[in-house]
Amino acid sequence: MRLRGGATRPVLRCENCGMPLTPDNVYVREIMGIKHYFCCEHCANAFEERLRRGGR
Amino acid sequence: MEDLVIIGYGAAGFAALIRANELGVKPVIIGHGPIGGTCVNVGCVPSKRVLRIGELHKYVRDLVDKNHYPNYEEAFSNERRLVTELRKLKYEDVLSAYDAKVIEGRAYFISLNRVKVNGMIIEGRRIIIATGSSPNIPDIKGLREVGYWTNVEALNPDRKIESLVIIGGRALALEFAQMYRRLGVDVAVIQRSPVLIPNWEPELSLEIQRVLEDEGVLVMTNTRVKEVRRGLGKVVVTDRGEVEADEVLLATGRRPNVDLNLEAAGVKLNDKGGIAVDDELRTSNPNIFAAGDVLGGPMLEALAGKQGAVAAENAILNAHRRIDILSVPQAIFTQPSLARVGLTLIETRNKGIDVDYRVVKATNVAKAHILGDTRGLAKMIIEKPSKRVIGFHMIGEYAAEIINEAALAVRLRATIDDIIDTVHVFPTMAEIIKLAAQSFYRDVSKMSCCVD
Repeated sequence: MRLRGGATRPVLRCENCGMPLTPDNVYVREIMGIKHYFCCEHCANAFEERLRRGGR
Repeated sequence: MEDLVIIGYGAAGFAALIRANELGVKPVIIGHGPIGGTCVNVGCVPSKRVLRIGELHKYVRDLVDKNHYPNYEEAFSNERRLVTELRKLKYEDVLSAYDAKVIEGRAYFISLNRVKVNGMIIEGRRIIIATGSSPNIPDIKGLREVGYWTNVEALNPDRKIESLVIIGGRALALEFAQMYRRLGVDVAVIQRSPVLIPNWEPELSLEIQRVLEDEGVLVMTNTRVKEVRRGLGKVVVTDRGEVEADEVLLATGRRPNVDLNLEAAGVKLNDKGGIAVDDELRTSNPNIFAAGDVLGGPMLEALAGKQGAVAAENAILNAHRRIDILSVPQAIFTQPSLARVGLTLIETRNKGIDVDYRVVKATNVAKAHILGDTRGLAKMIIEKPSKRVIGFHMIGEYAAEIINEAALAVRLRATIDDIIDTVHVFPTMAEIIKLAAQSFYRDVSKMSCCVD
């Protein structure tokens, strides 16, 4: 049988600004043991700052 | 009492045997299953052969006939012939050239320095455990009832399939995804993490996803498998929907083969479930060493071979040899291939190393244009003050070959200036290493060929 399925294919997005991520703009940072994906270091810094302050 | 007992006759065990002989020791070597272990029988060798067959036929599809695919049965038959040939050439014939007492059987420890195999007790002055690893079977509801493949079955299929779901998204999953896709099989990859190969640099993770999707592989990341059940085929139920296929392949890691009653020998395990060793591959029992996949570390054929030899030297001579793990490269043999050596950016951050990095795209490499395949990139990470190369990561044509130069650079603690000062053959894909080094000084997209 051919492959069958209605499974959705999630697009990876910057966890700070929501921009779709590609090989040209992806940046990863490990924060408290978990990898988070961003479009740039600035978004990673902003996200980490917010996380450490207790908000999302 | 035997001078040296080696348990396992795969890559690490054989390397230990050969080095032992070179040091004047005739070891006892105990193993079970086909000689040569995972790599030659159900790992590296057969998988790269089927990948190569797929690659050759893809060239035909690209140039001549877009409906041209390899014959499924013939591809695996070809692979099995190669396995038989290389097992004989590299293991069976090699064994007969060395001095060793070979025992086929399953060994287990009965005391600090004695093992039992086939009812015989063998005492060893020194022992090396090189028992390798086996596929890890995750605890998924319905999986065992419905049945599944591991790499073993996928390389020796009992039937022709038209569709395959691969659970897992690391090296093995990527290779088998492309392998089966290029045999004309519909393939889906289900990966729990947000990206494929999450321990690699993210640029490579996203690029290989793009490569597989361009070939028609369905890639589902950030997806958890909840259950496997019977439908017309095998239904994999996830938190993002269901996928149904003829077969399910598990690519969910490997577990070290440590079922040898190690407690009797005073040998402890590490937090990965492998045998705990120090830098010299000595276990918690000072007369027992371990090498290869059984350590639970990076499971690489070349590393297992190196560890086997080092373990033998340290066991026999107390040579205090160590392995520079930082310079051990690894590769994923899709097309384009991926390869890495040294640290990732995250690892440098965790270690507090002050670094800089550059990413150079394959479009900057003349050979990529000549080959007609400009996909790919290289990421070079250097230690800031010294400019030493501490990480190199690449996806692109021949990456798995090129990485060896980068591994040498890391091993010799070379700087980007050392690399730039080394003339590289033109036109080659290997120039990407030099371009990556140069990119710390200038915009390489504004350079003509071979500029220094």
